[in-house]
Amino acid sequence: MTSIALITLSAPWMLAGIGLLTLPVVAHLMNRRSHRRVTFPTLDFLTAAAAAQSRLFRLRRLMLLLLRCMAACFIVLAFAGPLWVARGAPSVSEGRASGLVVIVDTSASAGRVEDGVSLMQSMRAAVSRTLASEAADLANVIEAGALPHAMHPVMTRSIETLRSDVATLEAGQGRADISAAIGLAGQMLASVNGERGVVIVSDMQATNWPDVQGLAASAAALPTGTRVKVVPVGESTTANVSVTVASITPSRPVVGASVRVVARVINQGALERRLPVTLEIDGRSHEEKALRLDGWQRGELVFDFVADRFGERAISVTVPDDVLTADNRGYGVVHTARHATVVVVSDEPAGVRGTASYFVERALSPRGEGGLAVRRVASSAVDGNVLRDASVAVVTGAGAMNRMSAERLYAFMQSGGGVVFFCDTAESAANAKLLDEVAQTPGGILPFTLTTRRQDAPTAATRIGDVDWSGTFLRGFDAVGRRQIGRLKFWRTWEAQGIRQGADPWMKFTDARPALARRAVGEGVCVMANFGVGQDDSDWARHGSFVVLMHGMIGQLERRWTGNDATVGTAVTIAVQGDGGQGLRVISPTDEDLREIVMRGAAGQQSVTIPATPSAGIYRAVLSDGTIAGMSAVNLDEREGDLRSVEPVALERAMTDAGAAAVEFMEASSGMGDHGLMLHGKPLWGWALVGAIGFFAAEMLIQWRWSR
Amino acid sequence: MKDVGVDDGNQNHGQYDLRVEDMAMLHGCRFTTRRPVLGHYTGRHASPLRGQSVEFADYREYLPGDDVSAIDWKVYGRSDKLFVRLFEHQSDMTVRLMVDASASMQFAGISPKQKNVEWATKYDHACRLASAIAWVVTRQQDRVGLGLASGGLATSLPARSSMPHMQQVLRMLKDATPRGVAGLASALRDMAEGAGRRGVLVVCSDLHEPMEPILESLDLYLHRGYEAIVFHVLHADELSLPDIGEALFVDSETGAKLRVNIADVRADYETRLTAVLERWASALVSRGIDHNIASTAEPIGKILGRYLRARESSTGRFTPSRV
Repeated sequence: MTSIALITLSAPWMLAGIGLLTLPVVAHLMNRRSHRRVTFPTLDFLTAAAAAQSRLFRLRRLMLLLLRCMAACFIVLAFAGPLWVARGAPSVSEGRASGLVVIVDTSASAGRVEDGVSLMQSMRAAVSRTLASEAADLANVIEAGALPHAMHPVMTRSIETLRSDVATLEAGQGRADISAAIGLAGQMLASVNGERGVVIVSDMQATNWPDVQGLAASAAALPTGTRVKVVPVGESTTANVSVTVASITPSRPVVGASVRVVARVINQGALERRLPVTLEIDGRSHEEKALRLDGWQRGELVFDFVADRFGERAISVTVPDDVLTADNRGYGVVHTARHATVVVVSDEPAGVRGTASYFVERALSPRGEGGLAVRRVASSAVDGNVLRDASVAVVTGAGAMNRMSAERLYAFMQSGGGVVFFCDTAESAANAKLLDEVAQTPGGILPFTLTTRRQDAPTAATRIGDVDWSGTFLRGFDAVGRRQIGRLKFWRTWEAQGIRQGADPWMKFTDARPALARRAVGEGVCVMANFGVGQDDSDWARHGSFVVLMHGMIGQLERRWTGNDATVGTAVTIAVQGDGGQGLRVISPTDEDLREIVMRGAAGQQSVTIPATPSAGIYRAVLSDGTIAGMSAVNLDEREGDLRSVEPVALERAMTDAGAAAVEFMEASSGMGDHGLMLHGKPLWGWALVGAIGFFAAEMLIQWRWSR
Repeated sequence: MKDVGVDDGNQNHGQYDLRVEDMAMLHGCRFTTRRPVLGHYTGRHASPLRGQSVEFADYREYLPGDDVSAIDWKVYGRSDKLFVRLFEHQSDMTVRLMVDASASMQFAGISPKQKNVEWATKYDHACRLASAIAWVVTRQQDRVGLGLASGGLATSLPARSSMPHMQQVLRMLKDATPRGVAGLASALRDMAEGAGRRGVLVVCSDLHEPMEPILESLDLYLHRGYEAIVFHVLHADELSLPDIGEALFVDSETGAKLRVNIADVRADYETRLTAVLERWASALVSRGIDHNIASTAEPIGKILGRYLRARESSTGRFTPSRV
């Protein structure tokens, strides 16, 4: 870079064009030494007329030559990229180097194609153009996907290499984490000691830029004085339809059970859409239904099928391709089990008659048979592997629960599992309090709060007083069963502080204390029983109505799979069926063998976690012999389907207002008026062109005036 | 365009033969003289002599020796005096053509040449003009002579009235090569020596020579009773300089050179040229000499036809008649 006083030339090699000055000079000489020779009758009049011309008039050609030379000089100067450098600004001559980081939005929405033109193609061109025009000394490009990363580990001086690398940029399937990308850019620019700039090339998808505060916090982390420019690419469009698998119920059906898949279709445009929605099972079309959606309407379609065989089933719902194909397919997984699994969390000795866990296990699986598989686990040993294939967990006869167990139970409920919590031990209050604590939810997660344990005399047992027979668990009771419940005796119960907001009290004791209540926790349900079923707690286990109650609850609490908890970029865990082994591999939806996986659990309870899923689809855990040991589905974030964009100016204003004061936002524009970040100073090439045009205009004006 | 010569039997004779359209324009024209002329034979033109003709001139008293038949007996009966009737003598006319054959007459213009457009020099134009006059004069059975001015009187033909002589005139025009200075004043003086008295002198020249000597030479003819007519032959590009930018101009006669941009000097040049033309016109008209600008942009027939008709209408004494 060459400096002329306070003017810096960003392309000094273009000064070689000064040779163009020879053109007007040669033209002048050729005109002056015109080879045209005219034999004229007499020169008397011409000589007299020529002699009468003024000296200025004879100097006209020299004046025109001067104007043409000046015009040529200014044109060459414009191509040399003159920049006006403010006094005191760092320059390369002082050992300072400017740095530029280009953040490219590679979210799923960048993969849209409109009228045959890929938005990603436009973004690649914009990035390449930016790198060329800014002409920074150091540069890097950050791909802002779900997990932003830089194309080069450090800032590079090889701009041309970087530009060629840009050609490999592709749209991902996650959401763009712009905040993280800006943070990464800040780390990159920290090593730059000259002017710093960040250019964000994005489709400005409105749903991708909602967190102004977060962006402002990230921008504030940029080095002071960093200039930020947002370059919008593509037009805001509202002609897209997205589909996801909203839920699969039950997620672990037994063979022969009916499975319900709910597909959620969102019309991300203003116009009414009529379109077919197809359910595919294991890649084969199973059923197609038509759907009509008004503008901006979301609708749900229900597909039913029978889980006819044991194992993993890949579910997908599709709509016809549109501008964004990535969101035209939603995924889910159905784990068809031979038996529904119920985990009994209890510290009581197994198989001891009269204990609560004994009665519960006998009610669920008499003589170890039936449609349910019961697994017993101690209250301190509850982990993800224990609950991974369970539909319901029943806590009864449990001692003091540790925090890990409480967290696992809470996570189990959050992901759609059902927990039946019998308050039948002295530690029940502490366990309930721990569950409320790990949830970190105001008001807790349990339906009511326990205070003190109450022991009634055998003759003064507490009885059920009020029952809401419309409750889903209690619909199965006939008149005999209902009468029987009225005669039940409860000797050990808990004083309670009343029903919490959001909880449904299905049964109350005669003194109005809650006896059985339900409360939704995340996608799952927690049912709390203010009694025990051991022989010292109540006599309910001795009656057949207890079996009805347990099966009613298990049937209604069966775990439901929801697609929202596994989106691209987040972690997903695959429960491995069988023994697993050393040869376990994870295959991505694009048939890539994923290396970054985390294996957990012992043989028989093994699971594998993918920390950051790169794309939407079905992830398969494959054993060394090719057997599929487990599958998990990952979907595109629904928000990626909304292709409406925000105005960069409004975003910049919001970020500035939010506190990104250290950042200087440049006006986003494109074309000839785009002055870039001015890392090396204020561009003067426009003025140089204006000067050249001015000289040409003056030359033409003089010619016109003199020709008259 | 087909050229038509004066002599139908010798169409290839010269390039300055009259064209059909020129002949059509000159068909009804007569070349007359405003002054009485002296000729060898009886003709159509007024003569200063008295003679036998139908035009009555005057009476005078009878003197011994007069033809008795000329006595007007009716006057004698009324006045008892003898008077004889005098009649005008009508003679044939001698027209002498002087054509400038200097190098400056070789100028053929400087405009870009266009396809299918004839590109004539000023000498061509002057020759066609002279040829047309010779043809008109010969057709009306008057005599025509020719002189070429190139460094003085380069060559000349005596005045005669016949078609063979007409062919000689054309041949002489064709064979001449314009070069050097004209020496028009000298040529006129030399031609005046054998010119006799009372005739018509027609000069076709660009007059790029000092004015005074030429005027003095013309005065010689005027003093001999000649009527003089000057056709000032100029090229269209000479009258209005075309826009050719800058060029090296070379004087055709002196070889002097001058580099000049036409746009720079055009206005001044035209002003000066116009002034000189007006001086020529003033000097010539004050001597009773007709001055006509003959631009190469105008056809010969148009120039000459317009002049001859104007001339006939202003003569007064002679009624134009068809040839």
